[in-house]
Amino acid sequence: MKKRGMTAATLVAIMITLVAFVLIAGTITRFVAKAEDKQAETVCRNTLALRANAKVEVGPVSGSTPALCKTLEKKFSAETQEEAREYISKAMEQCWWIWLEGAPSEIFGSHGIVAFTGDKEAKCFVCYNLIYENGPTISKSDLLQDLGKVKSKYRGGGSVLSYIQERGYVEIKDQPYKSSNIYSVVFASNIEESFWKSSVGRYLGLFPPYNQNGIWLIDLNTLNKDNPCYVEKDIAGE
Amino acid sequence: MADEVKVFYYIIPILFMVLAMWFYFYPEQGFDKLREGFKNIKDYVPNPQGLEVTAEEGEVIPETHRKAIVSLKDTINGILNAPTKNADCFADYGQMPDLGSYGTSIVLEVQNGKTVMNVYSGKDGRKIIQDLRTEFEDMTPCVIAGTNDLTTNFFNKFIEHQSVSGTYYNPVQRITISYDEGANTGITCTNGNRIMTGAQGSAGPNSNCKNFEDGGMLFSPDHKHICFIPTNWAYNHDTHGINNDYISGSKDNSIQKQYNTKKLERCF
Repeated sequence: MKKRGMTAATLVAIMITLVAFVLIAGTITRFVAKAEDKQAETVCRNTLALRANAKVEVGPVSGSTPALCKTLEKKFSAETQEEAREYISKAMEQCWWIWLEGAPSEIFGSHGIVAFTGDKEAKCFVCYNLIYENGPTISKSDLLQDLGKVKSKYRGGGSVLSYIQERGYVEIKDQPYKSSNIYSVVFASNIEESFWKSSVGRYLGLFPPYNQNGIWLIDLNTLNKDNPCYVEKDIAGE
Repeated sequence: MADEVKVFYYIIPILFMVLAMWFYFYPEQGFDKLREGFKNIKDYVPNPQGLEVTAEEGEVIPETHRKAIVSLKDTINGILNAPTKNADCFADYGQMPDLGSYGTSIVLEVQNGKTVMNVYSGKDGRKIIQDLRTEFEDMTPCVIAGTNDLTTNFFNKFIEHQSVSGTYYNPVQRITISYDEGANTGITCTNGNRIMTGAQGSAGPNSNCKNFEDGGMLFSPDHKHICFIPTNWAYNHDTHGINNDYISGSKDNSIQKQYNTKKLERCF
């Protein structure tokens, strides 16, 4: 009788554990996948903070909690160039905020030896795919100018450009920006522009490890075609 | 007794499942509350001392670079706004210091009928220096490079003082001035400031590095085109530019010496 009782108790414990695991994992994944944009942004930022703070290193191996982030699609149209530029500027600002203002130096993991790991070290995450439906064409130069004018909601009186450039940089990859196209706002982690710098110079120890986070604006087609960085999958695996 | 125990073992998981489903699916229940609590979880997470963060830097540009770029801007504005429009004139902005590895870069680009100058500097040269951004109305950038005929004409006209026919400057859409270490772009050359108008190896001053030993000289044929003078090392003149000895160098008839001795027309 005692033996049977123990077996049944063990069975109950296993069931409870499994059900709890399925419910919790399912809930978090479902929630992030279905969350409203603002909620998803907040969850992403908070899990990134957890990830950065809960980093554990044991010898050469490091690990942390997962980041629950997803790429958001935002449709927009604009009557004027200023309106379009402000919308894009705000999206870039928000992406920088979500990614903790570029504070963690290696949020996607350590540099490793770049010469051997290649492009996989050049990691990025697509915060937004901005679907520019209707509106005037905007130039790179004017967009850069507006980034320096549009006020950041996270810095009293400061511009979005100043906000991002406190720790990072802004890169406008293509131009001009026309309607009926999709543009990605990308968080780029430790990505150098020059192949030679990253492969030869770094490998030979001629340059210190590259540590610079930034926000890119890039045509989605260019991002998919040229693969300037290894895009981290979002929580939906996309 | 044994049957009662058996029933009890089945009731526990069933009851748990019912409670869990209610907790899981019913609106405003536990998981919604969990979600709300989760929003501000960062506030409760300690920031351990070991967290490695990138240094806060802001916009930084060396003072010598800033002064030289301000001087360049003022000189271009001086040419554009000169009260007397002398044709084929020269001006001196004072020469650009070494812009430094991963340092400062200057980009002039034609945009909607005006030329916009953006300056990048700071860590790894990627930060936009907002207060140095300048728009030049009614200006087109140009270079003394691009074809052999063009540089030959410029050389003969202003260094040899011969009469020439044909053009002697090359309007362009974009000029980038930066520091190049050669290895960065896969070519072998001496480190130094470099001027480019297009991709590496394309027509124009785009093949050689350290090709910007201009002695601070700017040329303008009409007070609308503002030309930079790329240099080469080996020849009097070729498609890539003019021998630096004839621009900033030791030759008696170098552009800089002629400018200083007022043998060339000044823009203002």
